[in-house]
Amino acid sequence: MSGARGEEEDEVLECPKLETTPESTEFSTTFVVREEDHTLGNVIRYALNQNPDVTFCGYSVPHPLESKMHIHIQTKGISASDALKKALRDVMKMCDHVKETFEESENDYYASGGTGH
Amino acid sequence: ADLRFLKDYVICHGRAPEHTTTYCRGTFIEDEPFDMEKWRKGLQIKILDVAEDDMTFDLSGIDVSLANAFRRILLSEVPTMAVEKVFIRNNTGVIRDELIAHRLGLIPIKADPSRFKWPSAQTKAVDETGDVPEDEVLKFRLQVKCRKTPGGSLDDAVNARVFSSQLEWMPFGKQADTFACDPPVPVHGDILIARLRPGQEMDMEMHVHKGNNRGERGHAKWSPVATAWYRLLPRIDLLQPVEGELAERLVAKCPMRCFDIEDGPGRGRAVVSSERLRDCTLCRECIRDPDLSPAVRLSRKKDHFIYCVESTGALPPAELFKQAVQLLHDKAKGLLEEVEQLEGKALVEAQAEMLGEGCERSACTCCG
Repeated sequence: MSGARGEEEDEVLECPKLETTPESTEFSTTFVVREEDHTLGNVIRYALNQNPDVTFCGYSVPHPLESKMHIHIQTKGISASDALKKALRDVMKMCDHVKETFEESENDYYASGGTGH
Repeated sequence: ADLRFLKDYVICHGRAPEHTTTYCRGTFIEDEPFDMEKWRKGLQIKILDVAEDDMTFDLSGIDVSLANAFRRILLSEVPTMAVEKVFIRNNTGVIRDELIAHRLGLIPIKADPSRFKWPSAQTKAVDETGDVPEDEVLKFRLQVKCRKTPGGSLDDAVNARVFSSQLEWMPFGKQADTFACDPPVPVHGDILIARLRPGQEMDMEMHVHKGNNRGERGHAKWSPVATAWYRLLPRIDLLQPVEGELAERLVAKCPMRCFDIEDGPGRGRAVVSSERLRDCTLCRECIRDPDLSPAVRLSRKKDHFIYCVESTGALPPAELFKQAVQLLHDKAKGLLEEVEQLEGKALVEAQAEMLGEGCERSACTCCG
């Protein structure tokens, strides 16, 4: 992965990035994500909570010394994994829009005489 | 206070702020379901000031989780180039080897990390300067000998102070051509690395690697920002009219001059200054006085962030913010692919279970 610095190939294969806990069901799932923290966790949690089909969503970092994150999703009507996918797509769309808006505001700033003094 | 106000603003009292939770849609009856188009229209970014190494801009209509994610990514996941390996041939100065190496690592290098690849395991494991891939490593040299000026006093020595400007880039392979237009160089040439006395010398070569400040393998030397932070947009309300002597007391108390006296009928009235409202530092002087505290309400808007990004100089701050947003996008994309892979695997397993052992023997068309 381009984000982590030089992780060995073997390590990544042994510990998958994403897993579900054994007691997960289709509508109530706990996803275990490795090598992620609050940066992504809080954002996914926010995106999931916007979905009216999601009855419960929360994330936690089980231990600060271990780079792992749990996302627990309970849904009604769609599967938890579909809800997660939609949330991730929404996050991607929001990021794209932030980037576009930022670029527009840069153009506005320089067009209206702003200087990078 | 009005519930809608509490939904949008954090109220800051004498002690801790209240009503800090951001509410998701569906909490209140009047909430509409989340609409991406409406969210897009609601997002506003306004650049306030751009200097060479830092910028300030307003980011509003966005949830705190996203704004904080950008801040965290700016601090620790946007990559830069920094000295990682130092091969010391000679160091007769008083500053010890590892301290010099530590200081060299912290010098910001003006090189665009996107033109380099992440260092491979072999590159990271070299223990002598030799052949390394030219798209992973930059080589620098530091060779300084301190001499007495001929005829001068001992205090007048040449090279008594070793500065970052004395780091020389040593291009190898095709680097001289690739980086002809923008040769890698320390961002600041006036960083003092060490002090020497006549007769002492330093001779070392160093490798610059791409890295970030993430996790255990990360280091703050690879953080592209001196710092990046945001604060929420302040709002001050006067709940009761503050007049006369009390108004003058209020105006005198605020160190950022957020209040003004307006000449009203009879005595002067205090009003909140609209130009200097943003300067409010939340020192809470205005609510410390028991006469003034019922009249003044300090609050902050939950979804309006005044962002400051201060770059170390390797990359311009606007570029850093855009990279941070892109990184969050890529993280979400990576996880999306993982979810789809996991679903695919689960589907294959479920099919295999349904078909039972017959799968292995006959020509299997289901399990790919």
